[in-house]
Amino acid sequence: MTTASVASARVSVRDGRLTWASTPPVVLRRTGPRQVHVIAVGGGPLGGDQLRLTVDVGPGEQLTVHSAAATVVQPGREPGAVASFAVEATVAGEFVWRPEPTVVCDRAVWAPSISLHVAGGARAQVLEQLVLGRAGQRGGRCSSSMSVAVDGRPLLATTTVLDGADPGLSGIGGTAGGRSVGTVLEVGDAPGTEDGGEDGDVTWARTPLDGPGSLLSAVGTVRGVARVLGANAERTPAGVATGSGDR
Amino acid sequence: MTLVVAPELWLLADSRLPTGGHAHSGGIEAAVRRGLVTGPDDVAAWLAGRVPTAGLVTAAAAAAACALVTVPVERRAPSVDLLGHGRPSPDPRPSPATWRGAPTGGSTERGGPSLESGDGDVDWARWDAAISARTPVAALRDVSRQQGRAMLRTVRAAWPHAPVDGLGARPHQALVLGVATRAAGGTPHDAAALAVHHLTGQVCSAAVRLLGLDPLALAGVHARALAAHGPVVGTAAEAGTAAAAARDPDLLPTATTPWPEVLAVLHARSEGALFAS
Repeated sequence: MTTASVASARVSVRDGRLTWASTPPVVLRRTGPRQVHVIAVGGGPLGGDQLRLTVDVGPGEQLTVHSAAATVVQPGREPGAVASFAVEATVAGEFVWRPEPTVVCDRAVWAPSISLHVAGGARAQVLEQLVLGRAGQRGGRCSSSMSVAVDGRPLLATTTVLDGADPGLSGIGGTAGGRSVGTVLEVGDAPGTEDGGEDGDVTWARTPLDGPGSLLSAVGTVRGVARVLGANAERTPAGVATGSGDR
Repeated sequence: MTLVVAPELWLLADSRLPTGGHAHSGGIEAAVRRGLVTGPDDVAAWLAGRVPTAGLVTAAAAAAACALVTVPVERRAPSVDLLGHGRPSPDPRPSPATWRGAPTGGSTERGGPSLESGDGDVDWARWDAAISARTPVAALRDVSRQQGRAMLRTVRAAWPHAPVDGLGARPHQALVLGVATRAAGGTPHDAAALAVHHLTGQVCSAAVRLLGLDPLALAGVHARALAAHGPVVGTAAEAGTAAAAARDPDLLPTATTPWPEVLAVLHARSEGALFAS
């Protein structure tokens, strides 16, 4: 690929019908009655690429979106060119976004974002793992944004900033040398309990948000973070009451 | 125009102002307890990760709160009395209009300018919710509200004209700081600078108390951090002012770094900590 890609895909579940549309390099493939995989064709993303996925989950519907393989973000021809992938989801049912890990190579600049508009009583789960660099690399720059509103009220607005080549961001005020960062976001009626732990591989914690939801963050080795995410990937049973905020 | 810093701002910058800040370490105690902070350079490293991210967010929120309260031009004190006799202002200090960056047309009444929100009441609940959404760690939301409430009491005593009534009983500290800065004659840039100064000061003084580090060396870390992160203050002031002008708290920055956030949860769950956060 020599020029940057601008591509968008969309998937919708409404009235019992799953519909989708996509163009390369982002291709959607149905892999189950309520499941879609994102397949990136032609390698990439590269610096300058702007990719977008729009999701619509209707009332009472359920949709899970995976990716077929790890995403490896490479620098583009222009130094510092940003590659972006924006996921925008409107959720009146239940939505799960669980891609394979994303590797940000040296000199790449990656700006993924996920924006969830969740109806009251609907649910969403986001499970993501970022890896700074391939083996032997420090890793590029990444700013990963998550924005969630429930019934129009903001629940979460945060951007995790990573840069393997920035001493401030890879030091103790950033990732403390951890090569990987993982996130599990639960929105809806998931329990907002506090939890956490640490060992030689990973440090992680879960905290209730100011509303119906919780956020788990893990920092450490690629394997350690994957282990924490795997242990926390299962959805908790519906109907468990959560705290209603900290005011 | 002569640039004069409003003298009351020095009070807001003073760590002895009773707002409970001494009970917090800016998160560094958790790193100290894990053996990752042993000298002044490590304190500087902590600040290098936190000031441009979480510090930027707090500073921008303070700047926005400062920009949301303005001095209406029509509040200018009359230069003649009701009988039409000219009368000089009884206030010898410079008019707020000559303070650095202050809007023109401020009141010169004794006791400071009467402050009102610019066009109608500010919907502080939206700004408060925006800060909560930018503070995922529940313990840190609680800390921000504790310090906000403590600062509210101080501000009410020091600047009775400060328009803090709409902020609620437990507002986030950044909002109180912003309104107080305005009441003291400061600008959004001043509010952002004060937020960064307080974060830096908390981290540095906590490091002295936790590790017995040389206070002189940490004063150097503090001063160099303020100089190095000057651009963060500028960015925060611009972002906060823009968000306030648009009346849109969604425009506030959202940056953070992951490891200190994880440690903040673990710290709140731990026992025997010296600092609350």
